[in-house]
Amino acid sequence: MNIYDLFLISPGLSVIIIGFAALIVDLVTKNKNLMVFGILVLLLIPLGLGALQLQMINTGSILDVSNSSGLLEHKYNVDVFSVSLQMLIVFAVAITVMISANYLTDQFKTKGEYYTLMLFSAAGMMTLVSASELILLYVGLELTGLPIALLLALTLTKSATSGALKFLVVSALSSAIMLYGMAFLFGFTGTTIIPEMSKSILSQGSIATLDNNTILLVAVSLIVIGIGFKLSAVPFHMWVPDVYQSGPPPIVGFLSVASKAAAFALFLRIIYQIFGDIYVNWPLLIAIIAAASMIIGNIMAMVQTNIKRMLGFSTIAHAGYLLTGVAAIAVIQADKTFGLGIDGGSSVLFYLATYALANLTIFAGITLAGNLMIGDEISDYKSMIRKSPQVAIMMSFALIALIGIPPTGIFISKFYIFSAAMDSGLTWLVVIGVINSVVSAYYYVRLIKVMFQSEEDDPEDNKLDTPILTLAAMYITTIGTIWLGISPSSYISILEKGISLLSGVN
Amino acid sequence: MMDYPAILSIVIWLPFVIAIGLLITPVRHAYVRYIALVVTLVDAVLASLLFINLDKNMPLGGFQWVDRITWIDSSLVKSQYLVGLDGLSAPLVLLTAILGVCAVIASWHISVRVKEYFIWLLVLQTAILGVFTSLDLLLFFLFWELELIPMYMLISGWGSGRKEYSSMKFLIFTILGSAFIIVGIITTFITSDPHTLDMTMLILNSGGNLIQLGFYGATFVYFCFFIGFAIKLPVWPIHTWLPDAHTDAPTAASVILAGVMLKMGGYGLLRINVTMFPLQTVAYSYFIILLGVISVLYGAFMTLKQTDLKRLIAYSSVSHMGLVLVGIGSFTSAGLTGAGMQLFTHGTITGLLFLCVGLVYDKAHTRSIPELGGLFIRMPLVAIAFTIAGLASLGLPALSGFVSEILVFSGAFPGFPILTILAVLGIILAAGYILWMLERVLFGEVKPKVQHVSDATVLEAFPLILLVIMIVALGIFPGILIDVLDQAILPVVTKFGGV
Repeated sequence: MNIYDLFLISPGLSVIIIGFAALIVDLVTKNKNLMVFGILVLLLIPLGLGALQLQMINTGSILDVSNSSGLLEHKYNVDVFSVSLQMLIVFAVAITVMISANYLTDQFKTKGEYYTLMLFSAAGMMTLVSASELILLYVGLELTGLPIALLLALTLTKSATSGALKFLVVSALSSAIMLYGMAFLFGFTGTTIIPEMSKSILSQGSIATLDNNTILLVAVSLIVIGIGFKLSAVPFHMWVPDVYQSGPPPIVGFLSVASKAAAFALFLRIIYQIFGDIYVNWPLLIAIIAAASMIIGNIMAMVQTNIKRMLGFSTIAHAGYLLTGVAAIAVIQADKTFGLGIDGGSSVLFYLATYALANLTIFAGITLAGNLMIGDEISDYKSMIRKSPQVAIMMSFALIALIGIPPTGIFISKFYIFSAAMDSGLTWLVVIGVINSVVSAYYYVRLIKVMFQSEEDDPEDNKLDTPILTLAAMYITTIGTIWLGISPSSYISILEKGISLLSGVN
Repeated sequence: MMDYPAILSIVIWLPFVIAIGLLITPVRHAYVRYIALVVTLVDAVLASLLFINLDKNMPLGGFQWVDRITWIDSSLVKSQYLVGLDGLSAPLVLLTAILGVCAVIASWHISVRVKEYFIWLLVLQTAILGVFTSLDLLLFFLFWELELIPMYMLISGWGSGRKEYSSMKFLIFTILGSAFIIVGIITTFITSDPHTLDMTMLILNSGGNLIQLGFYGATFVYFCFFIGFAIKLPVWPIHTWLPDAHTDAPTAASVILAGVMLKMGGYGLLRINVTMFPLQTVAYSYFIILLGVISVLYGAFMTLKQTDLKRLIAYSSVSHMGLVLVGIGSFTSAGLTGAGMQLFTHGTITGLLFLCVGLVYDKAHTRSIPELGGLFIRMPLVAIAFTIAGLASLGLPALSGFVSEILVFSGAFPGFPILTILAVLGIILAAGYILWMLERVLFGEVKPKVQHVSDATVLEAFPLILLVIMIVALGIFPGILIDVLDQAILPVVTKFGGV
C-alpha cells in the first residue's frame, strides 16, 4: 500500500471520511445549516478527485501500475466506467443531502447519523462499481444495503420499521443467493478475481462443451437472481412498493437512483467480463425479465392511488427498460453466435444518468410536499400549481421526462436503448417497450393533471413556502434533464469509452 | 436577402425564443399579446418570403435553406439538426405562420393566465414549424412530440365543457400514434446500411436498397408510420379524439388543431410514406383509398346529425381529410398534388370556419345550432366570411376547396372509378350539411340568444379578411400552389412510373 494506491481509492475514501466528519460535527455543534453546507462543500472533493482521475485516464497515466504497489491490480478498477459511475453516485448523494436538509429539521430530531449512514452507503456503492473481486464486491454490497435499511427505519413509525425490516430481509436473502452463486463460481474457476475467471473458464474447454456445464450455469443464474433483487426486476420486485411507500422520500429517491446505478454497474461488469464466455441464451432470459418488469410495473402503477407506491411500481418498469439495454449487449455475429457490443452497455449507463435526474426531481418534490403536510395520496397533490408553481412545473417536467417525451434526457436514452435492442435483433422487446411507454403516460399524466387542477379562489390554496435548498436541487436536476436531452453527445462519448475499455470490444 | 444564413432556423425558433423570454422576464400581462402578435407577424412575413423565393426546379431530395449541425454523435446513434424547405413543406410552413397570426388575434380576449397562455401558443408554433421542416427523423420526432404538451395545456387549461376528458383523450391517442412512429423510425434507422436518420438520404434512395428490409419488412415500417400519421390526420376508425378535442378547445387551439395540426399527419404521409416507401404505397393503394372513402362518407354522415357548431366542423374535417388519403392512394401526380393542396386549402377554410364560430360563441355564448339564427342581420361581416368558408368547404368552383378536390378526384378516378364515385358522394353530402347549417345559423328569424350580439371589431375582422383573400385567390390562381407542390411530388411519381 503506497500513496498512489490511496489516490486510486481516494473518491470512495473521502466519502467515508466525510461521513465520519459529519458524525463528529454533530456532537460539537447543533447548527443545522453548517452541517448541510459543510457536507455539500466537502462532496466537491470526491467529485474533483473523480474528475482528476478521468483526466489522468485520458492522458494514459493512471493505469500505469508500476507506480502502485500492485495490491489493487485486477481487484479494484479505476477506469472510465467506474469513475463516471462513482461521480454519478456522489452527485446523487449531493442532491439527496440538499433535499434532506429541510426534511430533517421538520421530521427528525436526529441529524448527524442520517448523513453518516447515507455517505457510508454511497461509499459501498462506489466500491461496488469499482470492484472486480468477489469478496470486495460482497463487502461493497453489504455496505450499500445495511445503512439504507437503518435509514428507512429512522422515523421509527410502525410502517417505516416494517418497511425497513422487509428491505433488510430481502437484501440479506439476495446477498445469500448471490454469495452461493459466487461460491460455485470460485469452485469452478479457483479464483475470486473476475478477469481471471474468464481465462480459467476458457482454459477448461471449448465453448461447445461449456454449453452443457451445469455448475457454471447454476452459478451465473444464482448471481443473476441475487442482482435481480437489487435491480427490483420482476419477479424479484415484491419488496419495492412497500419499502417505497413507508420510507422517508429522500432516502427512497436515493435508493431508486444510486443503488440502482450501482447494481446495474455490477451487472454490466459481470456480463462484459464473464458472460462473453458462456454459450447459453442469456440475452433471451434477460429480455424476458425485462418484458415482465415493464409490463407488471406499468400495469400495477396504473391502479395505485398512493404517489410513493406508484413511483415504486414505476421504478420496476424503468428497471425493465434498463434491462432491455442489458439484453441488447449481446449482438448477433455473422456466424450466428453471440458477441458483446458496446451500444447496449453505454445506453444503459446513459439511461441511468437521465433516470437519476428525473427521479430525483420528483422525489425532491415529494419530500417538499411531505414537509408542507401534503399527504401521500395522488389526490392530495391537487392544485399544486397554485400552491407552488415552480415545484409543480418542475415535477411535471420530470414526469414528462419519465414518459420519454422529448426534449428530455430520457427520450434520448430510450431511443438509444431501443435502437441498440433493435440492432441486437430484439424487435419484439422494442415493441413491448414502446407500448409500455404509452401505458406509462396514463399514470404520469394523471399526476400532472391533478397538480394542474385548481379551483378558483380556494382559500386553502395559499402559496406555500418552498425552502431554497430543495428548490435549488430541483433546478439542478431539471436543467440536467434538459441538457442531456438537447446535448447528449459528449456524455455518451465518455460512456462509450468506458464500456469499450471495460469489455475490450471496440 | 434570401441567402441570409439560418433564415429558416430563425423562422422556426423565433416564437420559442420569445416564449422563453416571456417566461423568464417579468413582462406586464397587458403587453404579452402585443409581443405575441408582433412575433407571429414577423414569422408570417419571413415565411411568405421563403415561399415566394422557393426554387421550383429542384430535383428529387433537393432542399433549400438547409441548416445542418451534428447533434448526437455516438457509435450507434448519429443524428443531426437538419432543417430545409422544399415544395411540400413550404406551403405548410406558410400556412402555419399565417394561422399563427390568426390564432393570436383570436386569443385577444383571453383574460385568465394570459402570459402562460401565449407562451404555450408560441411554443406550439415552433413545434409545428419544426415538424414541417426537419429532415432528420429523430429531430422530426422531437418536434412531433414537442407539440403535444402545449396543446394539452391549451385544451385542459383554457377549454370548455369536458376539457379534462378531451385533453387526456387527445394526449393518449397522440402518444399511441407516436409509439408507432418511433418504432418505424428505429426500424428504419437500424435496418438502413449505413445507419442513417437523414431524410434527404432516405428520399434519394427511396425504393432502393438503403433500407435492407425486403418488401414485407418495409411494409411493417410503412404501416407503423401509417398508423401513427393516420391517428393524427385523423382516419376512421381512429378519429374519435378529434371531435372531443375540437369541441372543448379554446378557439385559437381549434384553429391550430384543425388548421395545421391535422396537416402534420398528412405531411407525414406524403413526406415519409409516399416519398420514402413508394412501392408499398402503390401496393396497398386500394386499402388506403378504401380507408379514405370510409372516412369521407362516415365523416359526412356524422356531420349531418351534429347540433354543436364546433363538433360539426370537426366531423367535416374527418370527411375532408379522407380526401387526402384518396389522393395519396391514387399515386398519380394529380392525386398527390391534390392531397398536398387539400392540406393547405383545408387549413385555410377550416381555420376560417373556426374563427367565425369562435366569434359567434364569444358574443352569443352558445354554439348550439337550434339556439342560433339570423346572424346575418346581427353580425354581417362574420356571416359573410362564414358563408364564403362554408361554400369553399363544400367545393364551390372559384374557391380553393374546389381545386384540390377536383385534383384528387381526377387523379384517383382512372385507377379506382367506383371508390372515387363513392367519395364524390361525400362532397354532395357536404353541400347538404354546410348549406343546411348556414341556413339555420345565419338566416331565419333572430333568436333570443343573438338578440344583442355585435359584429366583429377591426382587429377581429383582420384574420377573417386575410383568410378569405387566400381562399379566393387560390380558387382563381391555383397555379401559385400547384407549381410549388409539383417540385416535391412530380420527381417521386415519375421515378416510380406514375402519371
